[in-house]
This record gives sequence, C-alpha cells and structure tokens, in this order.
Amino acid sequence: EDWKFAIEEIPGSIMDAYAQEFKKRIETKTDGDVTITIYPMGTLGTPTDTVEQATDGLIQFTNVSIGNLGTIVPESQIFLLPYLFPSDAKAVSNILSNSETIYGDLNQDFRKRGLEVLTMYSEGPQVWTTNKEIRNPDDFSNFKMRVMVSPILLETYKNMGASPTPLPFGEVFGALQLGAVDGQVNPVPTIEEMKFYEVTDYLIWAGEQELVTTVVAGTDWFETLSPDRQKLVRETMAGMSGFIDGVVSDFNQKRLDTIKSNKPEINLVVLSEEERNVFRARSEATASAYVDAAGSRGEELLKTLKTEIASTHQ
Amino acid sequence: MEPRSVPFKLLGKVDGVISKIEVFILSWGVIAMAVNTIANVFGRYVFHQSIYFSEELNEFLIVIITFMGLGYATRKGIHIRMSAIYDALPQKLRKILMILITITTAAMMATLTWYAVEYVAKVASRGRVTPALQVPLYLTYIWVVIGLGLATLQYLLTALRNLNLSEEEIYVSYLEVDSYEDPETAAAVARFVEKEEETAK
Amino acid sequence: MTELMLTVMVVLLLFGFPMKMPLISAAFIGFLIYFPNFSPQILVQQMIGGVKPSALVAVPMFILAADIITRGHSADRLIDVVMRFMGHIKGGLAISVTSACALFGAVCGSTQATVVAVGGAMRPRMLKSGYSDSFTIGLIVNAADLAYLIPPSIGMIIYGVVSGTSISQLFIAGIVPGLIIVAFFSAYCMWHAYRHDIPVLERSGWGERFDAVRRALWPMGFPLIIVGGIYGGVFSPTEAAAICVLYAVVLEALIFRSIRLRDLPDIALSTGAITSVVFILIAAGAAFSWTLSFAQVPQTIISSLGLNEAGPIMTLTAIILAFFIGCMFVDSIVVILILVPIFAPLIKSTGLDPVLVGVLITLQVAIGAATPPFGCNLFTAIAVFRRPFVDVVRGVPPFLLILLLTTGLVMAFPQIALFLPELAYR
Ligand code: NA
Ligand code: NA
Repeated sequence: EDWKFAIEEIPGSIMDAYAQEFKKRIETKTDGDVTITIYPMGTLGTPTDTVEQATDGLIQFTNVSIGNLGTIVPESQIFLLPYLFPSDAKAVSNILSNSETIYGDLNQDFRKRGLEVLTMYSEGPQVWTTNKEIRNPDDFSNFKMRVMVSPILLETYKNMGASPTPLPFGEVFGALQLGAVDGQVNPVPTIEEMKFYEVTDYLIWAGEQELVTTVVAGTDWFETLSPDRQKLVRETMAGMSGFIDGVVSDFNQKRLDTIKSNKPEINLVVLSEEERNVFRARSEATASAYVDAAGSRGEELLKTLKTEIASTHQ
Repeated sequence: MEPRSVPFKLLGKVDGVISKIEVFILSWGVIAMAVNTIANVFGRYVFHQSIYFSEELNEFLIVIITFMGLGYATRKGIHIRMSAIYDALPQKLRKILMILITITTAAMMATLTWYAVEYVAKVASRGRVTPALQVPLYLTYIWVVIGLGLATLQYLLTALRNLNLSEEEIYVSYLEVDSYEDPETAAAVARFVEKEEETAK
Repeated sequence: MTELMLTVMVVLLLFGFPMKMPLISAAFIGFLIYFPNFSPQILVQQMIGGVKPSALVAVPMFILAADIITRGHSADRLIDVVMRFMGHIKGGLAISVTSACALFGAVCGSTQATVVAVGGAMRPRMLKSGYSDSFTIGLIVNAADLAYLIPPSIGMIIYGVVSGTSISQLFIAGIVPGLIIVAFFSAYCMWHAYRHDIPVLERSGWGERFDAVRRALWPMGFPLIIVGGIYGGVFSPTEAAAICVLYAVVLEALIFRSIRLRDLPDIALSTGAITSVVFILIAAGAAFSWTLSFAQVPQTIISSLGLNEAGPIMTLTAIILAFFIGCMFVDSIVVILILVPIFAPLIKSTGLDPVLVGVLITLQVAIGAATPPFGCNLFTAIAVFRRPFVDVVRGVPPFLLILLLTTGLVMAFPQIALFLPELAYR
C-alpha cells in the first residue's frame, strides 16, 4: 500500500523534514507494508488543490499552512487571529498538539468538509520586517504593511494602527525595495529565503501570530483504515511533536544566523510583554472579522479555545 | 468567405446570439483586466491603497476568458495545430479526417464538460468561497462548464456541416470555411493586410 | 502507461488535431490507467488551476499592447531611427533589420508580430538595395527571435509560471544574450554585404538623425516601462504589461492618432481569442503534468535515460537538445508545457540555475519559431510575403548556426545571462 503525502514547501524545508520523518517511522513500523511517496510544493498543484485531492482520497495526507485553508474550512482561520497564543513556544506546541478544542470541536468542522485533522504544529513566530522601528500602535501610523489577502489579516493590522496592503507574494521584495510598502510579515525562514531583510532595517518579534500548519487526511479514506492503522497514524504523528519542534527551532535559528551574518547592521527587536499588551488590547476587536467569516460557530469555538488556553497556561 | 447556403437556419441564429455573447466577454474581459491592473498600480502609488481584490478579479477574468474563448476560437477556426500531414492529404481524405478530428474533439470536450459539472457541483456543495471577496467560488467556475459546453457544441456543429461529403469545402466551424491557423500568426497577418489596405487608399 | 500516453500524443499531433487534444487526451488516459476507481474531475481542477496564476495576466496584456502598436506608427518610427544611424555602413540595411527587431522586440513579446512589423516594412527596401530574397527572409524570420529574448517575452512568462521561476529575473537575463545575437547577426550581415557588394545608403545628417530620434522617443518609452519598471521594483511584470497597454493607447490613440478609442474592443477581442487559445493549452498542460507528477513519470524517464548521475553540463545539454528537437516539430508553448515538468525535478536535483535554464530554453523556443517543419515565424513569412515554404526556409541555415553558437556561448559562460539578474537581485 502506498500513501501519498503532499506538502506545500520545497524539499529541504520544515514540512519536508516532517514528511520524511513520518515516512521513515511508518515504513519501519509497518515493516514496509505501507510505503509513503512525498510530493513537494507545486507537483500536485496549489495547497488548496492538494487539500481537495485529500478530501477525494486521491492522496492520503497533505501538510498545509492554515492560511491556505481559510476558503475551505473558514473556522480554521481562528489561528490567524492575533495574540491568540501565549508568547512561549513550548506552550504553543502543547496547545497545538493536545488541545481538546482543536482535535474535538474544530475537527468536527473539518469533518463536515470531508477532512480529518491529524496534527498541527507551528513553523515559528511571524516576524515583521520593517523600515522603521515599531514598538507601539502610534509607530504604525501611515505605515503600509504587506499582508496576505485575508479579511482577518487586513482587520488585524488595521486595528494595530497600520495600513494593511495586500500584495502578491512575488511582488513583496520589489515593493519593499521601492518603498511601495513599509514592511511585511513572515516567519524567519521565509524572510531569509526571499531576502526581505536586505531591503528592510528591522526584524521585530511582536508575538502576535505563529505560522500554524496542519496535516489533514480525507475522512472517507481515513475511515476505511482499520482501527489499528488509524491508531498507528495518530500515534505516530502525536509522537512527532518533539521532533518537529526541534527542527523548527533549529531551522529558525540557522536562518536567523544567516541573516545576521549577511547583514550585521540589521536591528533585531523583541517587544516586551508590556509593549505586546498594548497591541494585544487593540487586537480584541479583530475577533469580529473572524466571526464574520465563521459565524456563530466561530464565536463559540473562539470562546472555547480561549478558555482552554487560559486554563492550561496561566 | 461566406458559405453559399447554411443548412439548419435556426442553428445558425442560435449560433449568432452565442457568438455575440462570446465576443462581448472576450473583448470586455481583456479590457477589464487591463483597467483592473492599471487601477491597482495607480491605487498603490497615487492613493496609497491597493485594491485588495485586484488579483482575485484578474484570476476570475483569466478563467472566464480562457474557457469562454474556447467556443469563439472554435467558431473562428483558430487553433494551434500541426497540419503538415493533414495538408498533404487529398481533398476527400482531408474532409474525412476533419470529420474525425471534430467528432473526437467534441467527444473529449463533452467528457470534460461532464466532469466540469461534477467538479463545480462539488465545489458548490462544499461551500468554498474566494479569499478576498468571499463570494461563492462556484460562481467563478460555472463559466468553465459553459465554455466547455459551447466548445462541444461548436465541434459537433462543425462535424455536422462537414458530413455532406459531396460538397467540396471543408468547414473549420459551422459557418466558416478556412484553414486552421495559429492564432498569433493569423492576427499578425491580419494586421499586415489591414495596414496594406490602408496604405493603398 | 508512459508509452501509451506518448503514443496517443504523437498520433493526435501528427494528424493535425488541435494541440489541446494530445495534452488532454494523454492526461485522461494516464488518469484512467492510474486511478481506475476515481473520477477524473481532478483534471478539471488542475485545468482551472493552470490558468489561475495571476502572473499569466501579463500575456494578454503584452499581446494587447503589441496589437495596438502594430496597428499604429511605433514600428515605423523605430525602424526609421535605426536606418538613420546604420544605413550608411556596409550591410547597413540588413543591420537595421536586426536592430529594429531588437528595438521592436523590446516593445513586443511576440515573434510573429515582429516578423510583420519589421519584416513587412523592410523587405521591399532590402530587395531594392540588391539583397537576395532568401537572405532577406532568412534574416527577418530569425532576427524576429529577438522579440522572445529581449523583454517582454511571452515564452519567458509561460516558462516562469510553469517552473515557478521569477519572471522579472528571466526578463533581465535575456537582454545580454539578445544583444550578442544582434552583434553576431550584424557582423554576418556586414560580411554578406561585402561579399555580394551591396551598395550602402546615403549617410544621414545629424539633423535628420536628431529628428528621427525625437520621433522615436515615444515608442522608446516601452522598454523604459518594462525594464526600468520591473528592474526598479516599481511594477511586477504583470503590472508593467498593463501599464504598457495604457501607454500604447495614449501613444497611438491620443498622440499619434493612428487608432481610435472605439477600435479598442475590437483589438481586445483578437487579444482575447489568442489568449484563450494559448491558455487552454496551459490548462491542458497543467492536467497533463499533474498526471505525470502523480505517476512519478519524470523520475522514471530521467532514470531510464541515465540522467540521474549526469552532471550539470550533461543535464543542460540534454534539456537543450530536447527543446531544440521538440520545437522543430511542435509549437513552442506546447513544448514548454510538456518538457518543463519532465525536467523540473532534474533541474532541482542538479542545482542548475532555473534562470539560466529558462534563458536557454527561451532561446531554443525562439530558434524553433524559424526552424522547419513547424515554425510560427515561417508561417507568418509565408503568409505575409506570399512566398512558398521552400523559399522562406532557404536562407535560414547561416542564421540558425549563429543562434546555435550563441546557445553554446551561454552554456559555456552562464554569466552572459546571469550577471544582470545577479546585479539586480542578489
Ligand atoms: Na520582447
Ligand atoms: Na520549428
């Protein structure tokens, strides 16, 4: 039996490390009864394409970032909300791998669309690269922040005081270079790969968001598996959270080192909890954009998830 | 070249109406694409505000132009094809081959139409929306079904028109006798002829 | 499965089916063999996805801009300016054709339009000056290739989208190889003119030259928009293309008054039709390449050809050969759509620079437009100059040799293509 696993990143990326490790563990545990073929970025289409293909059972697994699921499972956009998570990476990992809200409630919403959430993990914090220092909402005035096309992200940066500007990914570098936008937001590895740091002066950790990714399978296919196999998949993935957290932190650190050695004069700014609290307070209002997209069901989910996070991590 | 007599007059009329719709979508679709893209540039530099749905609108326009243009291109007989062997055949065989080509292509287009219906229905039932405007995705895809369907019809009509083997002309579409041509070549040549005529005046 | 897919494709191609048929039929057959239990609706998903990348919008925009200016006066003014400067040297008229193709190519991304715009105006003058028709047509159909190498280039846009390579970098990388071709062609033209003792034109005075430059200033704005705009990070290639449309409308409708605004929907219709015909191939190509990737066909082909262990030079040679041969027989866009996904994993694993590969592929694609038996430039020349196929093809070989020599040079010294993008982006 061959399981097909599509990822939205290139070979050598974090998702590739995840898929390769999963392949190794499954092939060993099944003594080669199950083989896994990995399809990297683009080979089977866009991330939304591969999610559809998983729903249809053409492929078995796909690892996509949550931003790409918004048009398929609107409720999943909860992870785009700013300051949803605490500032500590361990805590984030703990929530993403164990939360009852995610694997219970939210999974119901995935199931409605024929998908099964198998795991979630963070690829690291979203970092701002900007041409000026941003420490509070006032610094954001008249500041054009490039964001992905998403009503929630537009609302996020509007509430934080910036002028959000959606721009296709391929145009960000040029726009930063020319000053058509003043900053952009992405995880460190992307900032390094796309050389965004070359055309900006500051790297700012504001802790507002993590790049959350998820591995999903098609429900129809998953239910044809024997209970043993289902358990095997779930347990293997559950057992990989330590592994992937290590990969993610290594990966982020190495790329940050590259940035620092290529551009020693870059300013690294980590906002303090007090500074974050100011943005956090202004971000409360953003929840409404999520509720617009995900309805009362979204409201309910947000309440449950927030309560769960508060009770386990404070 | 105008054909001498058109069998099935009604079909010709229906065809005319469809043609008008296709022409409208193609020409104004391209203009809308230009206006949208230019407006986004001006928005960004002059008004410091990008149009957040600009890319999405272009995606939609590209899909509608591609698939709605299919029927129009078939009607006008513009296709990229390699005609070396075809051209070398005697008239009669060529006509038979043309019938074969149009029927097979019609069958393929019909198959695609069928699966497009299935696919678009599925997209609709899953309630997917577009990222920026949050409109139902299937509304932007329905044109794929229509375009493929019209192309099927065009190829069928062409096959039908060619079935009369006693007639000498080979039709590349229901109404037009021509040879298949590469579209860019055809357009370039058309410009040339147009200009020559202008100079002659 | 691969064999069956290939056989079907070749048969349908040979018998003159519209090109979307071989691609889409092969995809269907592959799918049905590989997934007998699934619905092929996924192919529709891939067809739609194939034309969605917004970078593709640049294609209709550049075609529209070129359509507008070929109706107007821009080409004539560009030709005039090069003639004023080159006419008096040996082979000057022929050199002017080359330079005019390069200049017009900087305005337009289609080689066929260049054949018409430059060739249509220049062939009568060359014949009158004593150049043979075979040399003249050979020069025109080959120099028109420059339209593909010098930005904008429809071939590069499609390669960029299919392979995920930066179109901006590709555009800039094509400039120097294009100029090298201009130099080689000019040298050959000069030598040809000496050998056949072709008389030179009268030297233009500086007043006339200045006047010609002034008249050509407006059309020279196009390369400024395209190269300057993209290079300077002002526009994406797509936006540059749309701004070119705006500029072309302002130029031809308002300044030169060679077209009327109410002609625009008609011009746009022709653009839309071409776009549809080309993009349905991209759509079909996406379905085709999805089936290939799924069945891991590229990996199979590459290992069966023994290319797995091949070094970068071997790999590059294999890719170029495949494209050169492919473009002899089949339309260039179809060749890009079939071969790029097959070679993509190999390009990645050998660490070849996708921009370099893109420039070399574009060069082969451009060459293919003028190589028999299937060449769009040849067909255009046949139609516009009303000459039979054999006559049109007769003058091609020397130019073909020069183009192949340029290919060799770029392979041996990749910096020819890469130093501009490296200067700009790295
Ligand atoms: Na060009
Ligand atoms: Na050729």
